Amino acid sequence: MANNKEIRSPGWARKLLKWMSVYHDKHSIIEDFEETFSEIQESEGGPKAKRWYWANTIKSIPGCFKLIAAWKFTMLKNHLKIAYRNFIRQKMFSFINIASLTVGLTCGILILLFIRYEFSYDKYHKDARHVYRAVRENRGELIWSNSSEHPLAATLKQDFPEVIKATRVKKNDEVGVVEYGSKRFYEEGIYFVDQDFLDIFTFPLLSGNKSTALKGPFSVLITQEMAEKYFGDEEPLGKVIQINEWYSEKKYNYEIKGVLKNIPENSHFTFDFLVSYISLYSLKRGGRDSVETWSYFEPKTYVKLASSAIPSDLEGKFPSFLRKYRGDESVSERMHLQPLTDIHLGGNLKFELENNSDMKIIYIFSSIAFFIMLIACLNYVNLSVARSTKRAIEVGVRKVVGAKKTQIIRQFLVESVAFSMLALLISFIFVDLVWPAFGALIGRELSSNPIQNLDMTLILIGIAIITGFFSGSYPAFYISSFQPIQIIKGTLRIGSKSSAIFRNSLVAIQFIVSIVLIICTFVIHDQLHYIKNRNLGFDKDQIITIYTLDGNLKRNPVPFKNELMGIPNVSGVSASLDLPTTIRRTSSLAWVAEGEERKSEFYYTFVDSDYFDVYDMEIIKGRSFSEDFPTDKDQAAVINETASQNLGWENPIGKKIKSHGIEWTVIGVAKDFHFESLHSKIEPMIFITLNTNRGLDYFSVKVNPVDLPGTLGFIQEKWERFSPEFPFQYYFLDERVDRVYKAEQRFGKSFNIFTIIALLIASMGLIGLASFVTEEKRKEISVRKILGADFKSIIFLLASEYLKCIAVAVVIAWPVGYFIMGRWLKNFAYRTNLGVEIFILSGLLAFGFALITVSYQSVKAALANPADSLRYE
Amino acid sequence: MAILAVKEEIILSALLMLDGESHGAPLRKKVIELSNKEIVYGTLYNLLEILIRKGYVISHKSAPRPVRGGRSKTVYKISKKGKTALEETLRMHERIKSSLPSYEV
Repeated sequence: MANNKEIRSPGWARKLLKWMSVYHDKHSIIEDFEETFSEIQESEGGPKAKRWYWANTIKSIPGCFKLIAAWKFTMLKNHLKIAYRNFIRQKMFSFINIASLTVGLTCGILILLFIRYEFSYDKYHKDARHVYRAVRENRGELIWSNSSEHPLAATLKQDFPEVIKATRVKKNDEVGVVEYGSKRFYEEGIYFVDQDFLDIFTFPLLSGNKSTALKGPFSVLITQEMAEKYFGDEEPLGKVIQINEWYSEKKYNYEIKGVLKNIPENSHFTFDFLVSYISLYSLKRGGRDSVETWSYFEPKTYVKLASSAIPSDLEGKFPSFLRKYRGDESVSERMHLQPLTDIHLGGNLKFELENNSDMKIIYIFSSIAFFIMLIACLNYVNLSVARSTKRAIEVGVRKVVGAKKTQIIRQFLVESVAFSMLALLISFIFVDLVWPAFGALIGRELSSNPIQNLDMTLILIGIAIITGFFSGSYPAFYISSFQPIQIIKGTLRIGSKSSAIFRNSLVAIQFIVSIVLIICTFVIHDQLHYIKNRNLGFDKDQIITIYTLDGNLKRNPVPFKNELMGIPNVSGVSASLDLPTTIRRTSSLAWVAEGEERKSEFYYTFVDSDYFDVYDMEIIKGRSFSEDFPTDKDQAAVINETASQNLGWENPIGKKIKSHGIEWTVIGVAKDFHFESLHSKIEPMIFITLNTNRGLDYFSVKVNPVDLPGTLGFIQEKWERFSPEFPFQYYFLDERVDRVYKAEQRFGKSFNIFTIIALLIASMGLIGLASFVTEEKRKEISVRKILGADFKSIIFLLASEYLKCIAVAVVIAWPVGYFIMGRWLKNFAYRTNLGVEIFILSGLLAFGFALITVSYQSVKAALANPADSLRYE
Repeated sequence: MAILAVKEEIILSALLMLDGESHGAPLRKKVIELSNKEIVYGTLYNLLEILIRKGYVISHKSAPRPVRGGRSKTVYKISKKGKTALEETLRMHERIKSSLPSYEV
């Protein structure tokens, strides 16, 4: 015999075999293998037998798995069949569960898609990770600003090798007029950018050469939308348009060097025209030198770093860099690099190009989504546990026949996942239906068909499965632990005390969430109301504002003003550099107080003598500008209250302040008014009347609301006579003011809707629960009725349990709501108080909802004929 | 009456040759002998499972064997239904064979 010692079959293969053959009789299989193994060993030797063992084990894998899958599928089919039967049998239970899961999932999906959209901002640029924006931090006042100095971009690129591309981005401060042939429109989206712009922001060009498009002066790139607007079917490339923007009074010819694909909505700034930056050299008086100076903060600076560069290292080199070019002024200031992809959710710094969103919004909305889903899941848990009596016999029989606990758990998990999958399917339809409305609600122009891409669908299916597991696991464990002996003997007590406490605490959690949401809704509503009705310190109603680019009109507004005054319903006209809401210019101011020289940054604006009258601003000390004092021009200043306090004089009237090398005499103090949003405190500012070449940009016309269209017609008529070159465009000031708070208003509105949804889901759950509990107590109620209990006491018996839950929820929700809303209100420098009435009202509302939902079932039970439920046949 | 698939036919024939019942190992050997082709246990068990579900084969546990370990084995036995199905299939083969004109090539 060649091989004396007996070789054992390979252990690993045996283990694998054992593990695979779950449904066969394991031992027989192993024995069969062993038998053949020893036969081969005898005839052909050990190694060959071993090889055979391995080969056969591995070749058996597909067959075994086929069998496992077949069995699993059979069980799954059975579970789904049972689930379907129960679904049909218990219509109310199924409806409530599906409805609340669907609504919960719909909210969750919408918010998820919204968050995904918010995170998609600016990510589509090539190498977006390496793009940064220069921001300044003023350490003294903790003000972050994103405006930078004109030469910064080029100097960064020249001094630091890790900066491979740099561009300035500068928005035309106000509307400009764009003209081509007979087409003439006001345009807002005119931007001045450097040549590197398209290398940093890789917006695709439809035509034109990327590398030369923004090279020469008076080159312009337009978007597809603008190309259609001005040129229709014509080829825009090489055509010449005329632009008259804020910086110059003359029209200049610009050659179209390319057409850009429309700018996606999820960009932190959007534009229609890109003008080469060096055009500004010709536009600005003073030429190149007036543009390329340090210490004058206007454009935003974006840089692209080499992929190997470390931004924090670069930031470390900035202080010495700034000192070198700026002189000693940069002491209190620091410069940082903000990643491009963080800008949209980084909140608003000073002087943003467009309003940004905030990470806080993401946190708030994701917690709303989470809590709404939680309420929906708790509904499922509560209702499943409550109706488990109805499934007890089924579980008992299954167990007696031989089902293991894990199999029962699996069955109930399959059921809950099936529920959530069905809910997911329905919510896909819902999401599709409400998508446009949702976009309007959150103020984003969202693309259609949100769930079209595969990865999103997979994520959502994953979420649905997790939801199913989350809501199904407790009921599954609970139900699977029933003892068959108890079930079949009928001694199983489901309505035991501990399960009642569990049930009630879940209800309490649901209502805590709902009440907190109600409190938030009320507070937000209160604050928005406060914003809307707070006296801003100036009259914003019935004021028509007209912006002008017309140099003649700007420098010589008086004749036009006088013409306008002649219109019957016009009661006042003022020309000014800014509207009370657009004052954003600051200047360094020097003065002497308490014997020392002082210096600080003040806001300033140019006004005329009618300004304070038209806007109904109160002068609390001294006097306003007047035509009667010729010395007011170029020498007098009115300051606001805050400035008066900051200057530190007891009586500011007659004191001197210095700015731009001119000395001004303070002639009056105006009452503070809000020239920025209510988020920020009122800052010190000065008004001056100054005759410069620059002129005044705005006409504010106070009108009588009688026959508004007629009045507007008159104004337009006069306009066309005085300024025929420019289209007539006007705004109502109150609309402009409201626009500032649009984001808050949208936020409030979406909060309202989500609160109502949360409350609805919670109430639905309560309805279901009440109906089960009432049914359980049917006999008790009947006996009580027979023994003489009246209607009132039975209602009380049924409702008191829930009312206790709500009471606990209210007590917990109040401090939570107080804390959350207290923090939210801190965002506003001017805010309402957190009133007690809000908290009381929210509690009452919760009680009301609970009573209404519970009462239907209770009344039905209380009115039922006891004979019906006690009859025993 | 259902006609058996070839593999099923071979297994049933093998079982019949092994006095109508057998456990896995001898059955596999017989099947290989009949079909002249290697068969993996995984496939064999699956086929047996299908035959059981169709009612052609009945499985039961044998009495514990008096050898080492002394476990019982699963024994597969052809059922009455299985026998008729096999007969039917074999008869069909004969019918085909006798009526094929150009059979002898």
